[in-house]
Amino acid sequence: MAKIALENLEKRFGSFVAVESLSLEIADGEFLALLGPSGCGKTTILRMISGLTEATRGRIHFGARDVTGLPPYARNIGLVFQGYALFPHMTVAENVAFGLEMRALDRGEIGHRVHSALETVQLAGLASRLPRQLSGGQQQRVALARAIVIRPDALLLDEPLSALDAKLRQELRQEIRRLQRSLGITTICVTHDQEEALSLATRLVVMHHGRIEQIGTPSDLYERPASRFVAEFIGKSNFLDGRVVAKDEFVTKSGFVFRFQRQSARASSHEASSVGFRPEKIEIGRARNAALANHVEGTVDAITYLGATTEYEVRLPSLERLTVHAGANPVEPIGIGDEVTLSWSSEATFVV
Amino acid sequence: MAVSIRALPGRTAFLASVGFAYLIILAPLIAVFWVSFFRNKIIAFPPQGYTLAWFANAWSLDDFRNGFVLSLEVGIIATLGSLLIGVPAALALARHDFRGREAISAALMSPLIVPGIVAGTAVYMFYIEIETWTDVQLAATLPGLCLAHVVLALPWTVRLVTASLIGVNRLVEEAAMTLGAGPVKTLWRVTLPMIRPAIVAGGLFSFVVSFVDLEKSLFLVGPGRMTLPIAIINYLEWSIDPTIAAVATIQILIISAALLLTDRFVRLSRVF
Amino acid sequence: MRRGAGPPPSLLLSPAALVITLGLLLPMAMMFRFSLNRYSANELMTQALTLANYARFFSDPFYLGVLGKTIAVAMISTFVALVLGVPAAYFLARLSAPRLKSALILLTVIPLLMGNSVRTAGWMVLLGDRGLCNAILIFLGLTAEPVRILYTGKAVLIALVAAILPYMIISLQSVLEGIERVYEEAALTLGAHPATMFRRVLLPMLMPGIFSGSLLCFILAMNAYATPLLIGGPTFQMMAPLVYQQLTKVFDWPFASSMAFVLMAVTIISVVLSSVFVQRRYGRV
Repeated sequence: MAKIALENLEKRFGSFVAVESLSLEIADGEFLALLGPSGCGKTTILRMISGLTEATRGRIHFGARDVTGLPPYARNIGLVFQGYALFPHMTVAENVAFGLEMRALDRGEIGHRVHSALETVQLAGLASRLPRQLSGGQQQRVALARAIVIRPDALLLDEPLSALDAKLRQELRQEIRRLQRSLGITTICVTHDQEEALSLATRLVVMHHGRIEQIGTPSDLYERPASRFVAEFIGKSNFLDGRVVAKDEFVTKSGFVFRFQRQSARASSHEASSVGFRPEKIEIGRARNAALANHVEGTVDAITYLGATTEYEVRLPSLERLTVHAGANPVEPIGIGDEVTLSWSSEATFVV
Repeated sequence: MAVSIRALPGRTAFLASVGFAYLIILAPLIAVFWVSFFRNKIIAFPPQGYTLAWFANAWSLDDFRNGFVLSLEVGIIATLGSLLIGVPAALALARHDFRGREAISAALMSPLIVPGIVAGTAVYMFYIEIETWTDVQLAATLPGLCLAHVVLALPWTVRLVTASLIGVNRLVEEAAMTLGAGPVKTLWRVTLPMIRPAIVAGGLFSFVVSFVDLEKSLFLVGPGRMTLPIAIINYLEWSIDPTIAAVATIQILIISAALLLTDRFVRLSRVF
Repeated sequence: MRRGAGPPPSLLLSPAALVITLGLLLPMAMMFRFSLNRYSANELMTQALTLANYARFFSDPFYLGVLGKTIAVAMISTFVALVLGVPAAYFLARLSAPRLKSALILLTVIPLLMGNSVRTAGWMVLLGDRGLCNAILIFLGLTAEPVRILYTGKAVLIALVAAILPYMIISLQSVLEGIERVYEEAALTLGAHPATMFRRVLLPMLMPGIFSGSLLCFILAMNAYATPLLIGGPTFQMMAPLVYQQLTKVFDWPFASSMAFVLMAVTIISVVLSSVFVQRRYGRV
C-alpha cells in the first residue's frame, strides 16, 4: 500500500494524444475514480499505471519507488479487468493462487491466503469451480479476490461493474467500498458511469480529451462544476447562455437576470458563458417563492412521471426550455399548458 | 493498445523464430521463381545472367504443354461440377433439417480427411473393376480424372457456401416470400445473389485444389495424359534445371492469382 | 428449423451424395474388401476372406520398418512445425496492423495450397549439391566441398516441415485469435514473467489448437508422397510411395489395399484418440 504519484504523464499513439501531460497524486488508502466518456484517456492512464502500456513521457511513483520503467509483472498491482479475465482453465482457487505462486510463496501460505481472500468476497464454497460455472457477480468477486490476495501497492479497477445488471451493480458497489475501507488499499477506479464514481470514490477526476477537467469530492463536482462539460457529464443541468455583468449577476441573451454564487475559474466576467442550475433545485408553482433569489415564468409543455419525481418541461417566453424535477406529490396540481413560476436560490446557481 | 512487445525479454529470439518459419515456408517458392530466369542451363549460383527463354522452352515440351492444358481443363470441369452439385447440397444442409443430415454432411466432407494416396489407390482399382465389368474405360480418361477431382473439390464448395448461407439472415428470404415471391423465385432472386461471394470463392478454391493435386491424380492419368504437377514430378526424377523452374513458376503464378482473387470474395483466413 | 425455400432436400443432395459415393465411398469399401483377397501371380487376385495381407505387412521387418520410419518422420516434422508454428501464429494473431496481417495470412495460405510438386522443385533447387544452400556455405567459406543435403533424411524433414508448417500456423492462429489479450495481461499484472505467462496461461488455452494443428500436420506428413520420393531419394522409404509402387509396379492389389488401409487406420486412430482426449480434457470446444 502506498501513495501513487503521476508526474507529467503523457501518452501518444502516433500523432494522437491519448493523455496530455497529467499530474496527479493519490493518497495512501484513498479511493479515486477516473471518470469520463469513452476515449477520454482514463483507461490509458490505468494501463500506464499497471505497466501494460508504456508512457511516452512522465514518471510514475508508488511511494518512494519509481516504477516508470518496470514491466507489469514487477510492479505489484492488482488489476480487475473489465471482463474480469479469469483464466478459464483454472479453478477459482487456482485463479486466486496464481499471483501468489508467481511470488513463490510456500504452499501452506498460499492455501491460507487464498482461503481468506475467498472468504472476504464470500466465495469460500466455490473454490473448486471453474469460472464458466459462475454467475457474472461471482466472477467479479473472484477477480477482486485475485487482485487483492497479492497485497498490491494499488488496486486498479477498470469499469468493474459494467457487465452486471443494475441490482447486482448496487450490491457489489457496497461490497467493493467495504472491502476497500477495511483493507485500506489505495484504489483507482476507471468508469464512465457517474453514479458508480459518485458512490464509490472519495475523490473524482473528470477527464475529457486526455486532460483533467476537474478534481474534487463528489459534492464538489455536483455543486460546483468547473466547466459546462463537468456539469453536463455529472447529473442533469439547465443552461442558459449569456454573460456575467456583476460580481453575482448574470444576464442571459434573452434578458433574464439571475443571481449566482459560484463562478468557475474558466468563465471570466463579461465574456460569453453559461449559467447553470440543477432541475431538482427548482421550485415549481403558480406563485413565486420570494425567499429564493431567482425567478422565471413559463408554460408547462410536457410532464413525465418518473416515480420518485416528476419531470416538467417548461417553455419560457423566450422559447428557451428548462427541465424541473419536483416531488411526485405537488402541493397544487399542475397540468400541461399551465402558467407556472420557477424559483431557485443563488447558491444553486453556477456560471461556467 | 497492447503490451508492447518491446518490453518483453526474448523479443529478438521470438522475431527470429517467426522469421525462420516464414523463411522455410517461402524459400522453396522464391528459389524456384528466381531460378526460372537464370540464363545458365545448369543451375549454379550466382547466375550468369537472366533470360525468359526457359518459359518458351517449357511450352515447346509436349509433356508440359499438354499437362498445362489438361490441368486447366480438369480444373475448370471440376470447378463447374463441384458448384453444380455442391451449391444445391449446401442449400439442403443449411436450410433443411432431416434425418441423417449429420451423416451426409460428414460424407461430403470425407474427401478432406482421406489421404490422397489412399483415395487414389481405391479409385484406381474401382475404375479398373468397372472397366472389367462394363467395358467402360475410366482410368486414364478425362471423365475418370474429372470425377475424382469433383470429389476433391466438393467439400470446399459445400463448406464455403454452407457457412455463407448460415450467415444469411433468414428473415430476408421470408420477407421475399411475404412479398409474393415463390420458393424458386426467392432462391433465384434473393438467396443466391446474397451468397454469390461464397459461390465465386468456392469455385476458385475448387479450381486451385484440383489444379495442384498430385497424389490422387497420380493413379488416374495415363501415358501422354499427365496433369501439370505430375509432369513436374516426373521431370524432377531426372533433372532439375531452369526449364522445370519455369514450369513451376507458371503454377505459382496461376495459384497465387486464383487465391488473391478468392481473397477478394471471402477472406482466406476464414476458409480454414 | 423453418421451412426452406426451393426444392426438397433429397433432390438437392442426391447429385452430391451420388458423386461422393461413386468417387470415394464405394471405392474405399471395395478396397477394404480387396485387402482381404489373395494375390496370385497369374490371375493377379483371387477371391478370399483372409487377413494374410495384413499379417504379411506386420510380420515383415521391411514393411514394419517403413511404417515405423513414416510414423517417426511424421512425428518429428509435426513437432518441429509446432515449435516453429507457435511463435509465428502468435505473431500473426497479435499483429494489429490490418494490412500487414492480411498480407501475412496470404503468405501463409498461398504456400499451403501451392501443391507439393512446386515446393519439391524448390527444395531441389535449394538443397542440391550445386544448390543455393551449398553456394552460400561455400561463399561463406564454411565448407570447401558441397555438403550432401538432398537425398538425406534431414532434407526430407526440412521439406516436410515447410509443407505442413502453414497448416500448423493457420490452425494455431485461429485459436489464438479467440484468446483475448486480457488473459495475458492479467497474468502479467499478477506478477508472471512472459515465459511463465506463456506456460501457465497461453499454452493451456491454446491446447485445442495444438491438438487439431498437430493432428492435421501428422496426417499430412504420414501420407507425404513427393517429398520422400524426390527429396529423400531411392533409399529413403516412406509409406505413400510404397503403396503407389505396390499397386502400379508390382500389381499386388490385395497387398496394396491392405497397406493403404494401414495408412488410413493410423490416420483414423489418431483422429479418434485426439478427439477423445481433447473432449475429455477441454469439454466440447
